[in-house]
Amino acid sequence: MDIFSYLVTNTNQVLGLLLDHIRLTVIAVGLAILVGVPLGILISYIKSLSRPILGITNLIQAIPSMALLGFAIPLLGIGTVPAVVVVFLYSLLPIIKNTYIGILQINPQLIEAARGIGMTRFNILYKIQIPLTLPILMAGVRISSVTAVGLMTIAAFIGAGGLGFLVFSGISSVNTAMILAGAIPACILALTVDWILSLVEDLVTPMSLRPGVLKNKKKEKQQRRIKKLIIAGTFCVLLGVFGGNIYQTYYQTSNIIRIGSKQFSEQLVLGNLLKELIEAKTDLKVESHFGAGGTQVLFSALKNGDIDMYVDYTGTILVDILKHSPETNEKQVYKICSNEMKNKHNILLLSPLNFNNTYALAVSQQTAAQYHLSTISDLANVAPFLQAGTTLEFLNRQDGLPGLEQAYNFSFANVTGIDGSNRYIALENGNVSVVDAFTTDGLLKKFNLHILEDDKHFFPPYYAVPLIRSDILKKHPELRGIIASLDTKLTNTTMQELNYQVDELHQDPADVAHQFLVKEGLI
Amino acid sequence: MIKFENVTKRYGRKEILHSISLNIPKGKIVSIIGRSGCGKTTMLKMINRLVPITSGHILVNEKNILNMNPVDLRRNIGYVIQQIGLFPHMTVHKNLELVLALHQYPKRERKERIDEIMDKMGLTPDLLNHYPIELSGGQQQRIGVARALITDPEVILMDEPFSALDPLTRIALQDDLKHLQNKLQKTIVFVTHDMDEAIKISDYICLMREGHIEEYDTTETMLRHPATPFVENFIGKHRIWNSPEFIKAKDIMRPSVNTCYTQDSLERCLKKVQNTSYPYIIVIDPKTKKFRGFLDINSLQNKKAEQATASDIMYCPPSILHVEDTLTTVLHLIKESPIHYMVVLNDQETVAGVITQRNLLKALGEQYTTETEVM
Repeated sequence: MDIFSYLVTNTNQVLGLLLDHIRLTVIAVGLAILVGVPLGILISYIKSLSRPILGITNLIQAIPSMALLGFAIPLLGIGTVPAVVVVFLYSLLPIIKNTYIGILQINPQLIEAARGIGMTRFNILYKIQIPLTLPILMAGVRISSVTAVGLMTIAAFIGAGGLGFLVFSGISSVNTAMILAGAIPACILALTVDWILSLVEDLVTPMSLRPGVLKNKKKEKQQRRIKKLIIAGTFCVLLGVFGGNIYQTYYQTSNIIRIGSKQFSEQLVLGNLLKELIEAKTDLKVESHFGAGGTQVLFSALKNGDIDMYVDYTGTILVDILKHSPETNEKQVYKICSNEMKNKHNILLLSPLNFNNTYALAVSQQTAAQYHLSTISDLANVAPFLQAGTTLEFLNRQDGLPGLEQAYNFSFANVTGIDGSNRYIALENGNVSVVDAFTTDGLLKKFNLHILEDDKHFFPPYYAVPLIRSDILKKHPELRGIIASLDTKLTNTTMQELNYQVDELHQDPADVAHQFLVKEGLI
Repeated sequence: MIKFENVTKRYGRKEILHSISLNIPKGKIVSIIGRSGCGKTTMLKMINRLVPITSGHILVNEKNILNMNPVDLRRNIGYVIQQIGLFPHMTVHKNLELVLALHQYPKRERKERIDEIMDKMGLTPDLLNHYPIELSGGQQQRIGVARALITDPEVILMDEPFSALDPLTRIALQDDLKHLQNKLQKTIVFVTHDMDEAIKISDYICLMREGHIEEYDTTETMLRHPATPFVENFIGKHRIWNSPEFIKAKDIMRPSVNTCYTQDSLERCLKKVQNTSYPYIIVIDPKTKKFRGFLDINSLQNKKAEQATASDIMYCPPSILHVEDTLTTVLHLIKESPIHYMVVLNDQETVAGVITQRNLLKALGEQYTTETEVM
């Protein structure tokens, strides 16, 4: 599927994400202007403050954006708030610095002349200093805004939405069209923002300070009129779109269920299944936070009330969230999880879905043939000669690689952490020989991989189970029954098929979910 | 109008001005002049409180400026600096209107006031829509002066306003300022480092040297009788020759000794002339000693046999000089005069001296001859 047909079939989604992206960027940069400009002015008056303030903003700028997002999650959770805060922090420096420099570059004699003719400090600020600083200040805003558009793409990583969502989802499902559908609008958006702000920059530059234009004032005035029209037009469009948006959300907030999901295809399909099912069977509106992050991000979001529900796996809950050692008895696992989640975190487990997406190790058919591999015990014998590439989560979990190596008593020659579906590509390119996989992964089918049997039953059961905040379930008790209607329909094979449709056939998870629900007669 | 009382300025430990006292009279132009770093600009900026006073008082219109709101004080004092004083992002009109707005001039009257001041400064109204950068240096500075005058303040401070201009424009603006001042009679404090400029425009000059006043006097006194060798050196020994209006007939004339009375006989007169080296004698009234006329040696010799008195044949010149007449007048009149010498009278119309073409030449030549000696 090429980018154009993707865009055509998913116009609404891309437009929605684009608007999200613009909205978040506007809010973040807007805040940065509101805070940065006064700060810039302040430090130009109180010189002793300039060093610490510029120092701190410089420091923020020096922190890698991913790391800053990482700091934001424990403090602010996931979603739009931490994303806006991080982008806001990054946008501060150019704005503060340019305001400060802009004011300092004004000839001090000019300021003295202004004082000399009896202008007050405030008069001088808004009649002399700000107008003369505006061109430089706007240049700072322009730099900030273009950077912010880019940063906001990364912010999709913590569930902020925006075009980055398509890029991340596309990477995790090896869907180039999807990646481009996020990346290209993001580029165009950045260029458009740059262009429109360059017009603003031109407009705020006093005519007399633009070299050459005074020779042809009439032409300049005409051009300025056109530029004003373009900017006013853009402004009106944004106002209209967001006004409508706010109006909509205002009337909906009371009946909203926020559903989160992890980033891989299965989670996106599950998220969409829940969303569509709930919206079809109730009056509730679902706000999606799909692809918001990994287990820890989603769990803390659920606990903090940033989202109301998401689907996790029993094994994950047991080991990662509740910190128990891996357990193989399925019933036992569900019981422990259900009790402890309710008592400790006030989170309820609905009835588990009928498929077990547990870990597995997979090799290419060629490797399997070469070393005669069919079980993990077979692999243990040759592991010292093999390179492995696993997800970061698998690499660090007790019920992942460390426990597995202990149970089977082996270690790989080398293990590389590769997130998402990139590890399949690494396998195909021969960079690694063994990857971890999920048993329902559609890509196993796509890349024609050989799953090694867990002959010692090391991997605990990973039955998918929807988690929901107890207050939400109390408010909307009908949800339990609605979601329970899914359980018998989703088996390992159906799930693998659905995943295959997304990963291999590059269908939109929302479409896949919709078709499934229609086919099963659930909606 | 403006009074400095023991005004001292210190920056940290460094004292810039040492207890300055100065009285600037109303309606006069006073130049503050000195080398760079002498504190002249500091003095100026203290008047409108751009620079705080360390100790002492400055009174404007008998009121201590420290008791006034600095913004109000500044609004009532015009302030002109080098070209940079105009705001580059505003048109000329906006630059002028800004001051009117600060003074809360009613909107309707602003346009009229702006047109009026433009006209007064000899500027065409089409300049109003231009930005400062589009104007020549002279035009910019005229606008600068216009901005200071537009609210008609009593006091105007000018900080080297013409120093960045080319010489011809500078002279034109100096002339304009003098001309305007004749009409407006403002109290103007003018800081400059250019002695020619100071002499040309000011009524009083205050010469500063390393933070104290070396001499504060009328321009003429300072030129003619510099108080100290420093002042003399600063002015330049022969500076006065650049200002012919300060060279008076009394400076050039030779005191006259040979006079006779109206009733003296010609023979007696001739004898008197022959006793001197001059070819003429001055005839005065025996009682009032007032000037009556000339007798020259030729006519005396021709008519010595006649029984006549001096008053019968004396010659009365068409033009007579007064001691306070300037060099320019002297040169002009002597050119027109049929005889080679002119009599100079003092206020009582008695003879003060005589200027001949020879001693005029000698006086004019002095500036060059002594200069070569010095060199």
